[in-house]
Amino acid sequence: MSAMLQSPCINICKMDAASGLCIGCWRTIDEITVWSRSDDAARSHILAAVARRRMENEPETGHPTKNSTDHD
Amino acid sequence: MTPILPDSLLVLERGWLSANNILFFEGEQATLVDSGYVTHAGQTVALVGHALAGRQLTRLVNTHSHSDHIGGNAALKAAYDCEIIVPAGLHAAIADWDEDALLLSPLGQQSARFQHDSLISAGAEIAMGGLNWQALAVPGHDMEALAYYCPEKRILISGDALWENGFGVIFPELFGEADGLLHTRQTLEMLSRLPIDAIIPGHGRPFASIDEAFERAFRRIAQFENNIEQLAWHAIKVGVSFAMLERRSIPRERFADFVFSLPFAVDVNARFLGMTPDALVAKVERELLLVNALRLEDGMFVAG
Ligand SMILES: [Zn+2]
Repeated sequence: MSAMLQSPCINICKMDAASGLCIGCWRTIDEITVWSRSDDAARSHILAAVARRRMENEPETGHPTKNSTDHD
Repeated sequence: MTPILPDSLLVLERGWLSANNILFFEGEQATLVDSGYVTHAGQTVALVGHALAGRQLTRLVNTHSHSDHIGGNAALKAAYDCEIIVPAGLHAAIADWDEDALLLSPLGQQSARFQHDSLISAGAEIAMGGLNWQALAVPGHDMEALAYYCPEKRILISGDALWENGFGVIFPELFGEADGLLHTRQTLEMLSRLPIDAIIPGHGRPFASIDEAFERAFRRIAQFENNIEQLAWHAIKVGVSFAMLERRSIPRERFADFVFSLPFAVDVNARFLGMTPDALVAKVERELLLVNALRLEDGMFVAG
């Protein structure tokens, strides 16, 4: 199995209850769970979904909103 | 190359603040190795719950007692009432919740207190995922750490004793508590004699390029043996980076106080480097910016 694509985890590992997405990497619980068993085709599928969600949420920067990263 | 791992185990690959979690399936039951950092515990419980798919988590086993490996223990215990099994050498530090021995105070980290239910010693065997795993003493990064090795499948769960690129900071050497360099070398030599096809490290992806990983690790330990200041400097950078991962962001003008608030950084500098406080902070800033462990955004330092 060839899987070279890197995990998008940025160490802000908390789920947003409303969206069901990690507020750091924009993945679902299922996408995080299966990551290590996924080949590059599956990984690029997840990364494309991540990019799309980011754009839909904050088209200008692609960053999560300030509020959503404030988890202290 | 990504190794092919047995179907009876699933690696939940996490980042640097949380160590990887390894879930073993045993019919209707399951065992987990390591639980991540405390601020990520909610996600850890959710990931494990999703992967369990109705199975019962009956055991949680730790490789060692650092905050990024035990931070979810209390939450997993509360969620699943699993038995918590820790390396025998950590009994007192956990039972007494010794925040110095657990490195929580020196590194400015948090955890959630838990009690273990039983101990596992080097030399013991533990069945996980229908496979037999040997507990191996891997002193160095942590003097009481255990790795878990499956001879039948030639898989090593290495914790922070060996990564694809290096190994965890050799804390005992820096605290003057033990000959950490010597133990790290001996641990690497012991591990390098095992037949291994795949390593599941505490951080980073599982990997199969075993020889290359040992080459890098031996090169690195030789550098530290030749120049202890290099180890000291590396450790300060890692300590500050890790603390910043938890903090996320801090105004630039408060960064110096943040560094001085980490006893580990101050002690290691005093013991090995003897830089002035200003010089220390300036160098930490410069080098962390250089490797993108820090970014400057609108007057704030943000973790990379
Ligand atoms: Zn560690």
